[in-house]
Amino acid sequence: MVFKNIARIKSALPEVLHVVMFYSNGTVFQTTFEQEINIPKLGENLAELINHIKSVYELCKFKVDVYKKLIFETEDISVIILKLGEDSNIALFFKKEEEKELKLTAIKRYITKIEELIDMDEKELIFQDILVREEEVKHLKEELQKKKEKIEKVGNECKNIEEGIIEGDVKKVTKELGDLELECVNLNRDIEKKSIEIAQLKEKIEKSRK
Amino acid sequence: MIISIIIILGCFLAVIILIITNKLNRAISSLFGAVITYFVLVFIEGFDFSVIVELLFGSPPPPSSPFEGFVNLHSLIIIIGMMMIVQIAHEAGTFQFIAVKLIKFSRGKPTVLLIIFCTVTVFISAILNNILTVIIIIPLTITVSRILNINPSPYILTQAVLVNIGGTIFSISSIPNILITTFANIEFLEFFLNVGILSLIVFILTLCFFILLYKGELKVPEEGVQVLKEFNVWNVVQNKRLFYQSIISLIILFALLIIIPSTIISSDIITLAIALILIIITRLDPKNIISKIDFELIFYLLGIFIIVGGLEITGVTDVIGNSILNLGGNNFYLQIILLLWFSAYLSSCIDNIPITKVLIPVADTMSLSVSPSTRSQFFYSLALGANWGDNLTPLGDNILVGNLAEQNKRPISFKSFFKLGFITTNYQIAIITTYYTLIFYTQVGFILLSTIIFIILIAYLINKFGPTKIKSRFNSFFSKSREIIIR
Repeated sequence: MVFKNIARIKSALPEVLHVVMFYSNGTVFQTTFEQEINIPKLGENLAELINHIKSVYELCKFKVDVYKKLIFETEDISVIILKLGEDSNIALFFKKEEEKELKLTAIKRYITKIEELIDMDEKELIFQDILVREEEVKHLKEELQKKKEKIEKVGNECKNIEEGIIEGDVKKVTKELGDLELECVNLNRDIEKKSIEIAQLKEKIEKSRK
Repeated sequence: MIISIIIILGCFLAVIILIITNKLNRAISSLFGAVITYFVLVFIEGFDFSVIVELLFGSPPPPSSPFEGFVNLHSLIIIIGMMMIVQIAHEAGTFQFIAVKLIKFSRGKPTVLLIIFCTVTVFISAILNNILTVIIIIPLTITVSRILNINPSPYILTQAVLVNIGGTIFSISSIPNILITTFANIEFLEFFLNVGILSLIVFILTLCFFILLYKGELKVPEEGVQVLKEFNVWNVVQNKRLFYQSIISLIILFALLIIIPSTIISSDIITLAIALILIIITRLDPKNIISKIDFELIFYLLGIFIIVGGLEITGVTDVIGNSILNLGGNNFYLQIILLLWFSAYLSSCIDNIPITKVLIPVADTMSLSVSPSTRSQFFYSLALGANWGDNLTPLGDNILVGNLAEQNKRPISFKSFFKLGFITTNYQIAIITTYYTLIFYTQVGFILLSTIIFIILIAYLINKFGPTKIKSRFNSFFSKSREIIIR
């Protein structure tokens, strides 16, 4: 999947010589460089490069939000590092050709695809958490519904025993009814607790958006 | 003597407090404490400078057993040798390669992934120290979680807890082990057979506990699995030649430590020799390797050697040893259990290196009351307690796990870490207690073990075949307990 997108980038921009996809901790996910190159060191240095520029920003008291790209041009070869996802980056090494500008827009959609594939951001993680909790709430509500139906059934049974329509132990049925009501109270409390947790997670996402 | 005891004990406690509160670098604090101890021993107790040399490197061997003695020097040589070997293996990407290769084997099955993550952690920490293990494994776990589109928290938490189990597999796995085995003259294989195998059994039982705890939480999307397949494992290896050389050297090191008894060549000399040969054949820059030796740790150890030596000379360690002995009465089993729990709870809030150093003479005092054949049990118990107790609180090395997770934008909850670490460590020490009961009080141990197995069996049968009402109550109790621990 990622390979395909690299191939597409290279065919859309033939001047791209090599591609390195790396995480901010220096781990290289995939690269077109051969294994003779010291790849872990390459990833480490590329990651350090970004950190150094961030330090320069901090020294100059500029606000460092999220970097978008970093360009380093020389006579023959140029490097452009683009931010992919939350913690991933892509470095494109390309041949410098006269009178020709690199059209990054041509590869934007491939880069977006790669980002989706290799780096899940924190918001996505919270979304997953919300889904899990919503599933749990759904399950609890189903259980609550079942208990309510059973309360109704046991309630009728109790009434029938009291009215002498059917035979049975009133004490036992009343106790069962009490137990069921207690379980319902507990279920309602759990549902409420989980709903608060969901609301808190949603609030967290909202805050990160702002 | 009383004044000396008060000053040296105060010095030891001050060093501990400075380290816990992070007010002063640990090497500087311990060296400063060592200088004060020197003044006390020389000017109050009337010793000459040779006592300091003896405390730094250990006493010379007695004529009857020339292979004993200089225990501190032997420990230092093993630590330096291991640091060199591990540094080269780390540079070569050996551990990262093994980890990624094994993770790819999981094929995205969540439980298999948890098993592999945990096994890799234990395997790496059996060779590296805990700090280096988490530095390698935590960022790697987060990277893999990004690729797989999963929440790394359960994996990070379980790995952080299991790092300490790896530390008791071999005698060279952690600094406390090195200090204990060189002092008590315990062979590499002897330690593995008595402590290492036990640690592996406890690891398997802990893993079962984790699977039970996290089973419902673990999910891996199919797309992530496909992307993980494209992760080239060789991207973590600097160069293949260096990689193979470091693997071979590790294999040779383990083989020699097993084959050669320390009465012929001591483990430290074997380790240092392998490290030096490795530096020569890999043609790496020796300056670079030497500069990466953790001198802070070495200076810290030297300082601790002197302070604890001072406590030994003034008789403080004997008092602690005799107190535990008295608490345990004349019961060998009770003494071992007390030492196990005592060392575990002490090392939960204090760095386990000084604790081990203080408790070694304590264990030695205690072991004098038993036959030489069972003497080592005290040291095994100390090794288990001092290494595992670390996880009872998220302090010390565990803070690093939290920092690494945060640096990689996947912060973990301090509360979850504390709950999981505390419960798991008590569970692990309880397993060892059951084991010792089984060994020393076979009947009581058998009843205890049968009761545990019976409870587990009943729980399983209720869950499988029990009436719906009981089953649902049982499940609700189980899931509530689970939630209390993991959320």
